[in-house]
Amino acid sequence: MNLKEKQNIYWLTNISGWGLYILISLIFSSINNGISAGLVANMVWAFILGVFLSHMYRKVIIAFNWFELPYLYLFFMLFSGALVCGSVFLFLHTSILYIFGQEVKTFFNTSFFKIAPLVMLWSITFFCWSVIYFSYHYFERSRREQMKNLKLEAVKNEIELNNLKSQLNPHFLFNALNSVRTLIGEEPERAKSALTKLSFLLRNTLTSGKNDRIPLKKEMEIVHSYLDIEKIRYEDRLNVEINIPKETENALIPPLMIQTIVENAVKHGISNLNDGGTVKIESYLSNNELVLSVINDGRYDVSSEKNGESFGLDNTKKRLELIYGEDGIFHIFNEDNKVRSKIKIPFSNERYNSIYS
Amino acid sequence: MSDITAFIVDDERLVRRELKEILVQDSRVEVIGEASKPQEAIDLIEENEPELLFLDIKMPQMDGFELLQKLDKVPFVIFVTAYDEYAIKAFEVNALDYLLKPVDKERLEKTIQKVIEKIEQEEKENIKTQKGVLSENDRIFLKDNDKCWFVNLKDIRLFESEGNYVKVYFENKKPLILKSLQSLENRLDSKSFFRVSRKHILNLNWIEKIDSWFNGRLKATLKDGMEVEISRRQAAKFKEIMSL
Repeated sequence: MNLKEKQNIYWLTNISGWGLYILISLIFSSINNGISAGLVANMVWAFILGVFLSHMYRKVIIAFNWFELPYLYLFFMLFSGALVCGSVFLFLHTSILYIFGQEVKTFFNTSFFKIAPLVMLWSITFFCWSVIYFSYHYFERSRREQMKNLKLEAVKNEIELNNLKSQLNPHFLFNALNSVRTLIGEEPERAKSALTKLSFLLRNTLTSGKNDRIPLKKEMEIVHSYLDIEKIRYEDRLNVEINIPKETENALIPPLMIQTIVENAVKHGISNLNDGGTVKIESYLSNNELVLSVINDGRYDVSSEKNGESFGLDNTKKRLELIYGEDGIFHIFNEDNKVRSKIKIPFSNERYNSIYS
Repeated sequence: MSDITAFIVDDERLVRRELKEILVQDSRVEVIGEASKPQEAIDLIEENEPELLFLDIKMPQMDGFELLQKLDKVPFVIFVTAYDEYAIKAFEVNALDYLLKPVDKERLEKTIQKVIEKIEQEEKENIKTQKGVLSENDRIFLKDNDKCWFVNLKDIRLFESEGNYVKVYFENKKPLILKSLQSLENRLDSKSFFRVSRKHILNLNWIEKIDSWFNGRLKATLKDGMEVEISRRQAAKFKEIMSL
């Protein structure tokens, strides 16, 4: 809902609310005392003043941002506000009627005690107005929050799904199964360990999407399993170098982020080279930022970005943006016969966020 | 009949090993070689001319289809793939035999049986092909965008030069191949294929009638109604061959 629509709704409800209230008052008064021109004028002025004063009151509420006040304090403010509005209303209303020659009790010609019940009446009216106003406001706000949460949830689900898809992608799975099968005859022990790694990898794919962040060392366990499985296929065509210093091991990162990049490095990099190549993973800290790099032999084809082949990388960018805003940076570029994927995120340590571990 | 000679191309050693292990038990097939790299494979296949090729689709540098396009003479091919649905779809129904990894022994035996039947069929028609020459019973592999075909040379009416490419006319299709007309002429069996002009190589078996054309040239009309001009220079040679 845009601002203009909101304004319209406000004016519509405010005017119709006051109109209804005044009309009902008019009907009851005329039943008791009979209708007269004076009564109608009285009520018309009450209507105008009501709309006007409540509008002013609203301006004050918005100007001082009462929406953020603690409830108890807000209640006190609304109580006082209603009292002030009620008094001002009555003062203006009686003064106007007096000027137009009606015989009314005003602040000048009666004692305060006689006019006090009327002050109470109008104060209660304004209190009711503010309660309605705030209820609507809070209702709107919670609806907006809900929408935002739903959107966030949707993006998160999409990312989780994409991760699942890439991990459970048939190409990888069938090749892995085939690798294990061929190993059974040749090296049964290695075949067993490969199966264990494959189940570890699949289990983590299925579960780690549920966490927002996991420690780097945990992610690296997944990456290791993945690379070990691929090494069965690629044999000495796939070399792995890992350099994760101790101080970065507990850094928190979005799950399966490095895994996605490493998978891309193998699939689009190493597998296209006759003699294979090396995948290098490194991390370091700089100015309270965690920098992660995956470097592989081969060439990154920028045009593949447009052809939608780099689904994993797209996903990575989106994810970083969602979690870290402008502080999360992802780049992929060619660098003398190698491809470097670089991620920079704010450093946060497991100790401070133990709930994620 | 003698064993079928087979050749294995796959970039993964373990896959080749697995396949060989199964094939060793099959008395109908003899594996005469294997290769892990496409270029190496092309050289070895050209040299040894196996009857059957087990071919991986996804390989570094060059995929299985590109490899086949580079071959002058294509043996029977059984594709071996882990998961390449899109690639398999490139073929028209029944035009392709393929195996999925991990390879199922029974399925492999059935596929080999199918190939043996095709080879026997050819032998029955007494058309054992000659080494080094592309006779009309040899197959070539054609690919046009997303469609692929294995085509027997006898089904090809005409090769037409078009820049760096050659347009191949068969059935109602005319895909392009990246070859020169000259290199094709050198490989094709001259009993069936004749270079009628700078632009064309014609399959003689497809000629319906020959007419004289002006300036000492001839005009050949093919069985499908297509007309091809025979240049003056080639016309004399042509008459000799056709003993006109």
